[in-house]
Amino acid sequence: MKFFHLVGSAAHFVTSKGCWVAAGSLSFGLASLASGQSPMPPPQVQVPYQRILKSSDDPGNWLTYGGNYSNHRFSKLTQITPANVAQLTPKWIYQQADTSKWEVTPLVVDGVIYVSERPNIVTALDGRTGRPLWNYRRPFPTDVSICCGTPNRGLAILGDSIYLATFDDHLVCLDANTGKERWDEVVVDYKLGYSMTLAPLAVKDKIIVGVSGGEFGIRGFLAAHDAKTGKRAWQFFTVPGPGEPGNETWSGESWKTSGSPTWLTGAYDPDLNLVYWGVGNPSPDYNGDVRKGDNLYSCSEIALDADTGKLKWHFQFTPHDVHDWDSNQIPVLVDAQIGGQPRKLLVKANRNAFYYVLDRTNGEFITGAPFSKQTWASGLDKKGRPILLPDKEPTAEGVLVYPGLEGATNWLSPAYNPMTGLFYVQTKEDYGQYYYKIPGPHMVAGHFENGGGRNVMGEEPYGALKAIEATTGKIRWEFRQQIPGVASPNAGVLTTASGLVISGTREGHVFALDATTGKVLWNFNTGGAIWSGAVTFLIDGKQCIAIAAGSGLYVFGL
Amino acid sequence: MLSRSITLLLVLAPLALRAQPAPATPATPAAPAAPIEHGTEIVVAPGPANLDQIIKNPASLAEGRRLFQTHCTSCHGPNGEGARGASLLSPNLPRVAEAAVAPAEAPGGGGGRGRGRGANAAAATDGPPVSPYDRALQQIIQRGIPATEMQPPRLQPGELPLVAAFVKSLGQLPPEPVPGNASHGAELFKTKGACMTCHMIRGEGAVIGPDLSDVGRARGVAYMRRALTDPNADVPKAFQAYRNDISLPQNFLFVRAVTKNGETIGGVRVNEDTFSIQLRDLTGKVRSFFKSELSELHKEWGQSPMPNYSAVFAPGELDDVVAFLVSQRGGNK
Ligand code: HEC
Ligand code: HEC
Repeated sequence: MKFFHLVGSAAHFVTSKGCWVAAGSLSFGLASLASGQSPMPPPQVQVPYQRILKSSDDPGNWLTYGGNYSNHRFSKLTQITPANVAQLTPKWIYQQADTSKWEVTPLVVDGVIYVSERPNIVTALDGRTGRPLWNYRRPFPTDVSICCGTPNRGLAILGDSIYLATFDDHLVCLDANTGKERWDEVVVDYKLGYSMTLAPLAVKDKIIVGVSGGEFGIRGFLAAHDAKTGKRAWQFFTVPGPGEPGNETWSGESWKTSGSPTWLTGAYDPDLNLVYWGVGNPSPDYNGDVRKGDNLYSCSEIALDADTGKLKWHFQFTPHDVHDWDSNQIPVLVDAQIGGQPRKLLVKANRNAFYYVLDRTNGEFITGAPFSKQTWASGLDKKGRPILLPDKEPTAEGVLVYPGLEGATNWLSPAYNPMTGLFYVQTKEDYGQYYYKIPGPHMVAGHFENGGGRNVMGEEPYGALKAIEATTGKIRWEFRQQIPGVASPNAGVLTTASGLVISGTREGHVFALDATTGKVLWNFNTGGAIWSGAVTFLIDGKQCIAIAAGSGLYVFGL
Repeated sequence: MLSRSITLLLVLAPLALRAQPAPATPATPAAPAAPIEHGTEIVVAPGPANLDQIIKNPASLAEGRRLFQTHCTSCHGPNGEGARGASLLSPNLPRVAEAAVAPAEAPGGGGGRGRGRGANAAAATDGPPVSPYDRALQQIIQRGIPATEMQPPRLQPGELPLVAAFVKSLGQLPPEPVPGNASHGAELFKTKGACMTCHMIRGEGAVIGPDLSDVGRARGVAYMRRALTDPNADVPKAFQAYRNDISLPQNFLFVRAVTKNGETIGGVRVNEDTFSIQLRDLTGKVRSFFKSELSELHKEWGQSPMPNYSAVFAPGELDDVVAFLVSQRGGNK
């Protein structure tokens, strides 16, 4: 046991003591006392797998990136309601040193807030005051391959450890009480064009991470590491090698530089013991001439056995993508009735502008519909494969296609509210681009995109938070937002049992909507672009909402 | 085609930083129907080249002209005489000359995906020395000019020096003659045209339309004439990726707002967010509204409140005003 660590750090945590007792870790504290460790103080932080499993019933905390393993970003807390949300005020603001986009979803455990900051920094904050409790910093090399900034989206917690996936492809385990490093494992060599920006997913005794690098001709994979030792437990390549089924969907040797990254956090179904993960675009992004075929498992959802990493099923959203419509968007697991039958579903609003409902036991397509303007497919066939319209592939001169390359939606987390049955997602509307392609060789860790998109002059795309019926894809309402210039909305969504939807805008407003009607109930101008997802939790028994905006973490309360 | 590629390689060989494969036979795409902007594509080019060397080689210069016709004439005119973009018929282009003396600035084009890994790290290692002017010219073409319609073009590796050399060679041509009397134009600008009720020049005038202190170096003669005779034809619009400031006059938008009390306000958008809009009304006053206070908000894309002057000015007078506008080259700083 590691109780020796705790003695020294106990004094730090006096303020949060009340919180951890209140939030139900008491039993674990007593259990360890009973196991003969007396008179050691009980551990301050204990988030065993069982606790993450039941995170929906532990709404005072935010224990995993998506709020629960199903990625609902739904909270049962009801102190903040449509009637009183207009009275929210900032309680404190924590300013990080970095001033670029802050994409973090904080974790909250028993009154302590854990955030990752750029570059390679982890900070634990006292939830009552916003004062840092500890800080972990790791050197950041300068020769990394950067397609889209160097953000980090958050952390995982398991037991009394915090896990950080660094941009330079290390998985780091920290003591949650002190920030002291426990181990540091290399996931892959960053010099090959890989990076990591995601929050890891803690499942049972493993930490699962995915990689970025679809713009650099990597070969994507998903990896699980042993939570205690850091040792690699399994690795699944998202592009099959020679002899493996699916390799024939890549012409020539193109599978070797095939992209198909796994750069956002997936979902987990404990009953089926399956991990679900979205797979990104094939490389090179815009010029498919060198990689003829469907290019499996790019732009797909994959379901893997959590213990072995073996593929159970896959579903490809966009075969042979040439528009950078990766399918990394957060998978959301929904249990609902379809045609009177209870079904286990996986739903996703895809970057390609279609909303999909899949059977998550076997990957079968149930239904799908566009949720945003698109001009590339006339629809989806019975199996969910897009029916392509002619002349939408990039050319040397450029071809106008909706949505543009940032997609109808992107990495920002959606939310699902089981009480309204609605799926909420931020989208980008009226957004087309002239897609062009150019030839170009692959060089290790060099850009391997071979094209891009140019905006339509004079168009002003807008953001829209859409409420979509989770089982049908029908749009119930939308809330429009101005977006500066041609930027994209980039805020995740949070929804509550009291009937609220909370998100933010690129210009810096945090806002609350009525979850049923979409009516605006509250907004606050933070003055800093919002690139993050809001979370809600209890501090001293009072409901708070936290969201990163600009370089500040804002905590609101009544 | 092949032989031309070889010539190019010979010319550029000493400049190549990284071994590049022989460029594919260059396609000749038509100028895009919609103007290029948000061009995040900056293809890594070898370091800046000595342009006079290239100008001396007729094959390279011809290739530079071809590239110019593909990528630049839609704004700079078929012979570089200027249109929506500046006239390039000068051996001392103002933006270039400024950049040549200024310390190297950050690349333009805003955020987005930096597809040009190492784009601004390019530096010639050997080969003939490169003058600051040549370096600045290549940098401006490669990066574009932030907050203007001049965006980075999509050039293949090795093409940048060729097109830059062609632009430099244009400087040896005589500037386009501008008929008209600029000082009489200045008079008309203040009096008969009442232009200063909307425009500012060097701190004098109003701010409903764009500041014109610099218009002579941003626009060509024909464009200027058309601005007066068909104001809706070219409403300035320039998007920059990830721009947080939408008040740039280049992104001109005329809006009409109706308040819930029934007041109608026409004006130029100064700024806007999801919940509010700020506009400058036709008296020059800034008005700010929460959108919840408005019953209607119309965005008149492509429309200008500027009067059509074809009937106001006699043809000779029009020439004079255009001559005056062409002479507005800097001085608003
Ligand atoms: C979409 C329109 C557009 C295109 C296409 C365009 N330009 Fe421009 N360019 C402009 C405008 C507008 C300016 C003036 C910007 C300012 O100074 O306000 C400009 C300015 C310039 C300047 C700076 C002149 C000075 O004052 O020093 C150079 C050099 C130039 N362009 C070269 C090119 C070249 C070479 C190409 C093709 C590769 C090109 N431009 C394509 C619009 C364009
Ligand atoms: C009622 C206000 C108004 C008056 C009066 C007016 N303008 Fe304008 N002008 C504008 C606005 C607004 C624009 C931007 C939209 C457009 O292109 O028409 C503009 C654009 C221009 C442009 C193009 C600038 C660019 O960079 O694209 C020129 C040149 C110009 N005006 C010259 C004049 C001259 C010369 C006069 C007087 C003879 C004049 N204007 C009178 C409002 C006015």
